[in-house]
Amino acid sequence: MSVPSLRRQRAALRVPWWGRLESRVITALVALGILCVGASAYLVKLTVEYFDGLVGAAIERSDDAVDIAAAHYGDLVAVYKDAYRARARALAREVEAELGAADLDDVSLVLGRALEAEADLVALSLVRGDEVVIEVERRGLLPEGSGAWIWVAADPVELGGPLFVAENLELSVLFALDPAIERRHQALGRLKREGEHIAVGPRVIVDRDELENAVFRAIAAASALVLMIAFIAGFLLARATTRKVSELSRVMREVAGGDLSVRVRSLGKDELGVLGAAFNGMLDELAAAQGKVAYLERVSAWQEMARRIAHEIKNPLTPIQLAVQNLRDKDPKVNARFSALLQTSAEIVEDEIEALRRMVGTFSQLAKVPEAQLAKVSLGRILTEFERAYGHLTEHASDRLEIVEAPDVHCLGDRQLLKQCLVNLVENAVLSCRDAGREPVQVRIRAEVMDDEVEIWVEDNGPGIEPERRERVFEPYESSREDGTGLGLAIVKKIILDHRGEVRVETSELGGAAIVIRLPIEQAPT
Amino acid sequence: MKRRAFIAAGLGLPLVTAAGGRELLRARRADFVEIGESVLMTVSLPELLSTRDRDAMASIESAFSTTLVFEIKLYRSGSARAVSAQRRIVKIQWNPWKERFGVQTSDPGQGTRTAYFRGRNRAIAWAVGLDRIQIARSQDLDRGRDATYFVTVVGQRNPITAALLPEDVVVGGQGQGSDLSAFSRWIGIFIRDTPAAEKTFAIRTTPAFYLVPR
Repeated sequence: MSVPSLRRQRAALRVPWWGRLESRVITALVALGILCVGASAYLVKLTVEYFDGLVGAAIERSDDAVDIAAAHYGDLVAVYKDAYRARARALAREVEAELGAADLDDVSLVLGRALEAEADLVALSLVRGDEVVIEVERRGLLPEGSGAWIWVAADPVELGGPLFVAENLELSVLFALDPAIERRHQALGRLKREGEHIAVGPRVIVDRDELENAVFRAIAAASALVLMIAFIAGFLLARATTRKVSELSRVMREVAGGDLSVRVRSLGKDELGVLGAAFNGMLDELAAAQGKVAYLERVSAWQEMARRIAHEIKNPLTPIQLAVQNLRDKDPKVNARFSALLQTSAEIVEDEIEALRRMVGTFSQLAKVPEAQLAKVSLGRILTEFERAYGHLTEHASDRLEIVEAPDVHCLGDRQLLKQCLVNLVENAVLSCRDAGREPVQVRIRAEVMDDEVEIWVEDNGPGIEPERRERVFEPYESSREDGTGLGLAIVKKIILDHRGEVRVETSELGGAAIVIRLPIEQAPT
Repeated sequence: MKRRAFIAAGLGLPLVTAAGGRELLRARRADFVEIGESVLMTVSLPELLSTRDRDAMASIESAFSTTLVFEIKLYRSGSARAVSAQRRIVKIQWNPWKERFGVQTSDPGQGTRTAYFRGRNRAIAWAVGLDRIQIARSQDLDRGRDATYFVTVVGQRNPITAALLPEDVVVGGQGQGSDLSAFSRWIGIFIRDTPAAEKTFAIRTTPAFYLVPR
């Protein structure tokens, strides 16, 4: 394959940095975010404008109220002045009545009494034009500039009586007014002036319009922040999801390309993770099934070859043996050396014929493995029958075959073939132990129920099987023993696969190998 | 543009904006005289309280007090450090009890003086004028053409301070919840224009003056 085409193939298998699904999910999230944030921002804008309108109307009403109050202040001042004028006139009449035609020297006394009689009088004076002729003022009063009082001068009042008329005198009265009225009016002015201003915090004062704009800017910034967070979150979320989809897609493409060894990396515990795990499980089963099919095909090919070889070899063996026997029988024995040579040659030929006959026998054994006739069979029965038939493991009394009582389960299987499997396995175990010099030989058969399957363990105390050979030992004619045919385990595996089961090699607690047969349990009808 | 320059430009933008929003100093001719040990200045800022400003006039005639604050600083040419600084506060209002316009002037260390006027415009002219105001003692200034000085006057009409506002006008103040307080601070970040006064007008006297050597 050329380099560019390899690159194209790798590029096709590589997960894209920015996938379409990813961009669609992010676009959808961002669009949704913009929609939500935009709608919220618009609602906030409407709310702010609505309340601003209400506040504006309230401020206008407040301004109107201030204007009205200010007008009242003017009226109040006028009323006060009228009252002061009236009181001044009344005082003038009192002074006229008290003095009558008296001398002006008594005026100070009269004015002093009048001053004492009225608490808010500051000064009483008789004036002639701008000239102050006589003045009486209250002592101990704070000056006007101190802010303690407002001094209000009433317009001078003409005095009747001959004395005052002759002197052209008028009465001038100065009143003291509580400045609280003025302070309240100034507070009203501040209220009107600062109605459009709002303090945001202890030292920040803003115009109402500027505050409204600041609120819009703040909401816009917050919205942008939210959008940015939504975008980042959407990006991460979409990426986390689409990465998994991309991973699944990649593995599927490779499987479609024929590679069943590829697996989906762990995708977490969500639905996509479960899908990935299920896909991996499916690939495992597919690979196992593929392996079984390949194995059965290989065994089948071996069986066919064994059958033909057995047929082709077995037929001429008998004539050859008869011919050799004839040759030996017809020996005239005239020449001792010739007779010895003939005898030796005949024995050699007969030995080889016997060897060929044994080989043909093993070939026939493989070729004649029958098709399994599956029927519901009790595992306990199989083990019991096996123990009855093969209880004496070897001719050595110390050798021991232990068959643990089987659980009460049924399998769908061929009783004879399953027993043959056990025979093959036990024979294999004993021979391995013998070759390794184990004394005494121990073989144990036990069964364990695993969910809806049962495992039959055939264990020995032999040398065991190295991990790297554990798959290979089931191949036909694969044996580590010098006199082994290498067919025992192959026949076992073939039979077990025909039972839709599995067989594998483990390490035994007895120290040797353990051949484990796994068979599906046939559920008892309820 | 390098990243550092870009960041500097970004950080500098608000300062530029803020500078753009600041009141500019208008050039204005002023009279300076040296009498005894005092240097006196006469200048006027009629823009601060224009008789054409109907709201301001209405406020005055409604007997509401209008406050003018003058920040007066004397600088030596070429220096950013003020040689002297002072503040004058003027309050002008219609006094309905006396039926006069009262103009109350407060200078630090000189007490408060009140003048009454029958005419509004005369009262305003008096209020916005800085007439022979002492800006420095002559002994504090160098003499000669090499030592020139100028004065800046920042006038504010009805300055706005939080202290003037009633408590319940402060948004996000204490007792309104931490969320509202945080929101208020968040809003505060986006406030660009914080008015210091109802109106601000600032001048810089020109040409510069100097004290004649004795």
